[in-house]
Amino acid sequence: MVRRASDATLVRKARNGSREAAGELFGRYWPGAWRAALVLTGRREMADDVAQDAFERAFAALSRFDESRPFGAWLHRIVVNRALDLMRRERRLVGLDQVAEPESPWRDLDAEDRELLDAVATLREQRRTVVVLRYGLGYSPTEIGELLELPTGTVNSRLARALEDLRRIREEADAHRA
Amino acid sequence: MPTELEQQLERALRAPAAAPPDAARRAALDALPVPPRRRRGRVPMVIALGMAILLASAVTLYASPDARQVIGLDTYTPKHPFKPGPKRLQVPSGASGVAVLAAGRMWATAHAVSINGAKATAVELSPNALNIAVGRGRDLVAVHTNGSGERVLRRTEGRVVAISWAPNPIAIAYVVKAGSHYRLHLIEGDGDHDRVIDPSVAPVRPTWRWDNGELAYVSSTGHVVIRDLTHARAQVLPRGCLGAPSQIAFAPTGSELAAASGNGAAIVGAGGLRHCQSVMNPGFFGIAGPPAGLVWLSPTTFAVAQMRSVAQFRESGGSLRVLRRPQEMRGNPVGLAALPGNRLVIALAGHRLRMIEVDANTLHIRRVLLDAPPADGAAPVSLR
Repeated sequence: MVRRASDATLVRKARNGSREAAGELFGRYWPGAWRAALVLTGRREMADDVAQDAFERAFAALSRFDESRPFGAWLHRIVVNRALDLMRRERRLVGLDQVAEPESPWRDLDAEDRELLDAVATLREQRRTVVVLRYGLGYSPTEIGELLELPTGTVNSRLARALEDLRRIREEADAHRA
Repeated sequence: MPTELEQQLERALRAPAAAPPDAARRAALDALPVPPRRRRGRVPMVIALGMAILLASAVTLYASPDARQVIGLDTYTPKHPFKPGPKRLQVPSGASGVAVLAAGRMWATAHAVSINGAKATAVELSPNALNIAVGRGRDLVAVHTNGSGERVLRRTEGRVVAISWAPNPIAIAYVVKAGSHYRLHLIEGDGDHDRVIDPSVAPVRPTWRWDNGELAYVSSTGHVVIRDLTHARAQVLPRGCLGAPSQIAFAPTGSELAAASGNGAAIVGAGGLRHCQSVMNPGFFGIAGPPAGLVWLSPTTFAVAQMRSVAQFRESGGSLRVLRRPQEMRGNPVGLAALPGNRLVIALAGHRLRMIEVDANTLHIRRVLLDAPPADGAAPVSLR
């Protein structure tokens, strides 16, 4: 059985210029980074951009990366920040409805999941971010707090409010269908 | 214990992701830092010796163009070596005026006015060359080409670094360096109603759609932004395959926008950047600099100048293809403008700043328009 190299080993090799190691990290973390960017921005092309940009920044700054910290969390923090930056920038220029993708960005999913992600997309930015980090990337509230530099209590309350919002949206949709 | 909603969220949010685009992987890996050099006794000496031999061979070959072989490029060698040209910028036939900025100095000739070697930070001709918009440090100035003088349109907060005059011609878009940022302003041609359109852009010349309906520019994050001025809306396009463009230009008709970066050229349609072509001059040792000029020759063809070469691209049947591979020139093309009759005006930097009028297909020189003292760096050309 081939032993999987740890992130720290790959980071060390990548820092010394190993494209193979960097490629392995890229393959390992692209799906999560891209999905997080997609849910945060709601647009596939924008997700491509954000994820690519985050990897470029992360790899360019590898020499400054603290090896004792997890690479994934560092990268995801860059993804979240880049996605939010872009969203804010775009909102300043144009109403979000004017740049919405013509086709649902979740077109690969079944109807129920698609509806849920459409609802997530309507959440406030702060709540959407914690939902993505908690349920999309599997971070605990404490880890999210460290990532976003927030108290754990704030993360928990944002999560609770987000779930509340989602339940309400679902009930309204059910009532509308009935 | 996770609720049903939480379980569904985990399932939906962890659904398989799209495969990464090749360009994304390549760009990420290219961002890796260069590893520190290792010291290994004689190896560096052997490498240095090899490099010296290679360099000496390259210099010898470069000095004798007839013996030169260029791999991956169509070599263009002018039939006649450059002869000394005019010191004052000449207007090519079929144009009302021409202007160029190089190394902090400008040359412009239109109607009754000829400016040669004056200090400037940006220059652009108005439609029909009735005015020359000049960035003179913090001043945006309009020089009237009927010889009646000039007028300061605006004293800005920083250096004016790029100007784009609208086709109608009642508006001027210009980029100002303000601290560490560049700001995009819009002002009316008579100097009224100056306003900031975007407080953080790249120092890239903006471009107007032919009907004045849209203004495109590059944001500080390297995204192309298309601003619909009629409905006060803006669209930020994904960078896609191109990265951050250094040149953008709307087609002379329609709404197609061409963009070029060190990665290649692309057409921007309503859905964003598409149809990338990366057949650009890779430059020496594979390092491609950003393109220094992009100009449309027809509604479907555009030319890009980069690293001692000019390439042509054509949009055909919804895709972009290379019409002419990069043709190498003697001198480094640092600015481009198009003339009727499939002609180009090219600014060449090197031992001298030369402006030449060439046949767009063969790049054969038809006329030397300017032969000025040495200049380096990009030299945006304005032609009306």
